[in-house]
Amino acid sequence: MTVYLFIVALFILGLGGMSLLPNLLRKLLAMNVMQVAVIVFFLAAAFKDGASVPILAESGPEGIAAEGYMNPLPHTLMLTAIVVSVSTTGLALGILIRIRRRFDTLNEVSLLRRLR
Amino acid sequence: MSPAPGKTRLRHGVPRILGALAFAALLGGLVAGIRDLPRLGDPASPAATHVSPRFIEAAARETGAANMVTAVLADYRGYDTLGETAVIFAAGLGCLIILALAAADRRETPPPGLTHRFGSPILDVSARVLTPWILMFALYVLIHGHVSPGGGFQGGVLFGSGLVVVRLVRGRRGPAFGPGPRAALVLACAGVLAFLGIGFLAMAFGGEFLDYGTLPLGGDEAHVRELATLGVEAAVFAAVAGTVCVLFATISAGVRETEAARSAGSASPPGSDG
Repeated sequence: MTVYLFIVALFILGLGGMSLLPNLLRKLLAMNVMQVAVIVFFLAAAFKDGASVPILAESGPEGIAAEGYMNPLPHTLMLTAIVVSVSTTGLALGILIRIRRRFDTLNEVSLLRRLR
Repeated sequence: MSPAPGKTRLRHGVPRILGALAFAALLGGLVAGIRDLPRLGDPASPAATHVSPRFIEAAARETGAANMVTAVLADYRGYDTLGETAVIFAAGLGCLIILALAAADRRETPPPGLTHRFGSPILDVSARVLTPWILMFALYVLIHGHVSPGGGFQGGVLFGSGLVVVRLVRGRRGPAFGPGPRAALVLACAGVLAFLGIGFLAMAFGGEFLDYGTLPLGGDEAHVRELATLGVEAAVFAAVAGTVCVLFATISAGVRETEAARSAGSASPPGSDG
């Protein structure tokens, strides 16, 4: 329960930052905070009481109980999501550098005024 | 032409109140929705009861990987992983295109390798001593991904970050180390193509796309799948490590060029960027 409240707080914090902060770099960081909320949510879904990490403990494949291991699927999805988030953040930074070079500002209001 | 500091904030008034109301509603809705979520750690939650037991019980028998995450990543959901790898490569390529290949390729001093001293003695020695171990550990994480936490994504990020650390320590005038942006892009592209190639190879030997069971690698099917999974993970490793290098090289070169343009220009005052 507490975990879910934490996730909601993180998500709202990120979404609020994305829409309220005027600086584009801060918007990008807020988007990353929101992504972390989603990632933690998936990892919470993978959690099972008394379960171990999803790596087979004994050598023989006989008698594997699904209750003994955490759900590997959310772990897989979030593993790729984290690396994709790193590269999309890099791409966004590239775009920000170009905006900064062209307009000499990252402030949304100034940019909108310049574009008008 | 820099605007007055007061004018760079978002507009006040009715839209702001509406926005705050919308956020309050969203927050209330999300908190109310928590009640309907399954209890944390519930073994009977929907996420833990449908495909997940099948993955857990059959992964080791079918794919030969003790690490179920690796089995799901590279075998059961290989198609998804192929897409993710392509997205990562596309992001690196996009960054390179946006920030211009030529700018990233221009280097001041090109003596290769770690033969020249750089930075302070502490930085120099620790980078010298640590870097080979970081890079070797990245390869270990890749190869050992079947039986312990690890795999192509983790190893690739580690390898790329190891190269980035050297570049951060040595500074821009120090000796070049690791692949340049062009070579890194070729590496990333080769990774994506190798992934695709393994998928098509499975088709050529009578299986379906990315269904490795039919590949003629000898041994039983689980062993064949294990080897093919390692190949796929190596392809992902190359794509991710290459992309990390491309991103760092292009972004640092882009920042450098921007700073150079600003200092060369008519001493414009620093922008007031809220």
